[in-house]
Amino acid sequence: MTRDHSDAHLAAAIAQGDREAFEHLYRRHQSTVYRFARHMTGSPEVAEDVTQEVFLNLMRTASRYDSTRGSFQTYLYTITRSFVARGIKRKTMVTLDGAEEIQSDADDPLKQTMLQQMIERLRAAVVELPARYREIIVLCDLEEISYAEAAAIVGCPEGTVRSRLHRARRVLAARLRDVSEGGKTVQQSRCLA
Amino acid sequence: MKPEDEVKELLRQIGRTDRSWSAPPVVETRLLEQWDSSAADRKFRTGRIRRRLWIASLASAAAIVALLVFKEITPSRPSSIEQIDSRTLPAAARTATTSFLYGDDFIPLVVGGGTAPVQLARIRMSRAALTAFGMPASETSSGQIEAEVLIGEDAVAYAIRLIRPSR
Repeated sequence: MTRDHSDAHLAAAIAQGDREAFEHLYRRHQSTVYRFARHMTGSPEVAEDVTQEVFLNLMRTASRYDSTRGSFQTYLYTITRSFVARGIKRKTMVTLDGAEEIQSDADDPLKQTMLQQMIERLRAAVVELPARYREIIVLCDLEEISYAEAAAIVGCPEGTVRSRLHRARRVLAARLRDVSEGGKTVQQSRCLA
Repeated sequence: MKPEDEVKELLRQIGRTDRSWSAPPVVETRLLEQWDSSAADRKFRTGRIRRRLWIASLASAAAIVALLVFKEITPSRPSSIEQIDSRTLPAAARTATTSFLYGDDFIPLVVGGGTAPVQLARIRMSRAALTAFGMPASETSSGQIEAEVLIGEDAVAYAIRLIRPSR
């Protein structure tokens, strides 16, 4: 295998049939793909399928990656996004199970429990967002990638990313507030119109 | 803190916690199995393509050899007396090939019809001019030859007879 382990060289090596390069690239990026798919679908099973589909696709189309047009991560997110859309259509989404507990600085067990509940509600609320808002939340807040890169992945101007992000956060805040106030109906459609 | 900022902070916390998520090992296993079977398939296809290329190359080589052999055994049509002479044929064969031009009989130049010839003319002409009578001669032929031509009332040359040059 080539000594150059940059994504572009690994992709080129994969196109030449280098198995080791594929393994290397898979191990480097599989968690990114899996996380994005799982955050988007809320389902570990669908995320697993999507990850497999994405890398199967990459196996066949690695030669198409052009490093002059953007980072490999952007390229991978773009492929993942399309497979997530298919995965969502194919399978019913389920709420996240077995999500790790967030370690809080709070010593108070009550506060800790409340925080965990809020986190769970927030996860559920993210999954319920319309896809175009959800993907921005996942990319910019959960994955913490730049607005510019998110815009390249989604294929819209950076300003659109910012406005979608702002609206999505507002909806999520309203959702959390309403739930904590006793389960009022969330006027999501009005907020996201 | 604004509620949106609170949400942002919580989301980032979730994101950092979820960084540990990764696809189950079975996904990698399945992918590598797929890779190996695809590689075997690729190898099979490459081998098949190579075999086809070999067969095509051999067929082309055989065709070229056959063409060369055929050209060697098939005498090409002579385009001139000189060409015949220059060929590496036995002397007897060379004489037999060229002597038909030097007989006692006239060689007809016009097929059928016409008036009866009335005049016999002896002419000297360049060897290359034989082509005007439809006879084989090289464009590079040099030297003069003598011929007798039968000419009709209408001044058309009906037949020609080459005079054998005296040795």
